Amino acid sequence: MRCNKCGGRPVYFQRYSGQKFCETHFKDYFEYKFRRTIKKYRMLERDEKIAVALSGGKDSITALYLLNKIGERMGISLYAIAVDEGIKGYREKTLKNAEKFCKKYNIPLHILSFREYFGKTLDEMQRESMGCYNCGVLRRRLLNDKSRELGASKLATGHNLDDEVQTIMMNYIRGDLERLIRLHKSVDHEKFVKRIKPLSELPEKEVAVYATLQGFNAPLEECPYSANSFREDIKKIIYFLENENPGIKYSILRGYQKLQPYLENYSLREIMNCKICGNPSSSEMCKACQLEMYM
Amino acid sequence: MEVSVKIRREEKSVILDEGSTINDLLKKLGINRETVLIRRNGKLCIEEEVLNDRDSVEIIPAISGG
Ligand code: SF4
Ligand SMILES: [Zn+2]
Ligand SMILES: [Zn+2]
Repeated sequence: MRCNKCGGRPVYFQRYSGQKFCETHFKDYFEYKFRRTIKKYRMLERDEKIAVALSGGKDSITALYLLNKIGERMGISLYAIAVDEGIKGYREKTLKNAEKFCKKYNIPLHILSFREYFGKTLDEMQRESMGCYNCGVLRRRLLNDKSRELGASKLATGHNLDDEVQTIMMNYIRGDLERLIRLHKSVDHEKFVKRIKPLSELPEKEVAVYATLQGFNAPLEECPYSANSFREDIKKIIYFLENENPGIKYSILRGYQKLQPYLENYSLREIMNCKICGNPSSSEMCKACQLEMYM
Repeated sequence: MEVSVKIRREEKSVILDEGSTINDLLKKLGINRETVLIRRNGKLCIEEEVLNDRDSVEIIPAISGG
C-alpha cells in the first residue's frame, strides 16, 4: 500500500485507476490534469483577462490558485469576484476565506452584495420563498455584469466533475435538451461573458484532497438553503453508483460528449435581448429582471 | 479494538474487530467513502489502511451539500 510512483506513504487511492498517490505525486497529478483540461478545451489564451467567481469554498479557491499559478507564464490577469448573497452564519465565513486568500496572493477581489444591487439580502428574500434556483439566477447576473465591466473575456468557475455529471443526469431525466446543449455550447451574445470550468474533469473528492494538502482550510459549512433540491437526490444516486462502479462519473461525462455531435441538429431557442438590461434572454425580459420586478 | 471517531463537531468511540480497515469503519457507520476524506491520527490517508486500537479517525465531508 504505497505510492505507485515513489513508494511513499499514500494520501489518496484513485479507485478508478487503481493508483495510489503520496502527497507530492498527488499534487503533481492534480495540477497536470488541471492544465490538461484547460488545453483540451482551449480555455485560455495568452494575455487574457479572466474573471474568477470566488465563493471562498474549496473548489473556487483551488481553481483560482491554479489559474494564478499557471496564468503567470501566459500573461493572464485575474480578477476575483465574490457574491455576498447575505446568508447569515454561512457566507461570512466563506467570504472571509476568500478575502484572506486574495490578499495572500495579491489578486484583486470585488465583492458584490445582493443588498447593494437588489436592495435585500437572500435571508430577507427567503421569507418570500426565493429558493436556490432564483438565488443562482441573481448571482450569475452579478457575476456576468461585473466580469464584463472589468473587461474580462471569460469567467472561470469552480465547477468540478461531480457538478457537471449531476447537471448532465438532471437534464437527461428531465429531457431538457436546451440546457443539456448549453452545458457545452456557450451562449453567443455580446453581453454574455463566456464561462470556463477548469476543474470540470476533476472529481470533487480529488479537489478536496488537493485543497486539504494545500492547507486552504475552506469552511465546511453548508448553505442552509441548499438541501432538499432535486440535485441533492441525484447526487446521492451518483455517489452510490460511483462507489459500486468506480469511474462511472467519467463514463457519464464521456457518454455525454459522444452524444454532442447528435445534438447539433437541435434548434436552440432564439436568444433575445432583455428589454430592461440588454442581457441575453429566452424571453422579452430576462429571469433576473423578472425577479427584480417582484422584489 | 476501540477507535475514536470525529465527524464534523461530533465525537464518539466505535468498537471494531481486530484488523479492521478504515473502509470497514465507514461501512459500519453507513458512510459512502466517495463522499469523505479521512484523517487518521491527524494525517490524510487512504481507506485501505488497517486501524489500530485507540486510533483517532476524523471523517471530513468532501462533498458540498451532500
Ligand atoms: S446553495 Fe442555493 S441558495 Fe445557497 S448560495 Fe448557493 S444558489 Fe444560493
Ligand atoms: Zn510518490
Ligand atoms: Zn434583464
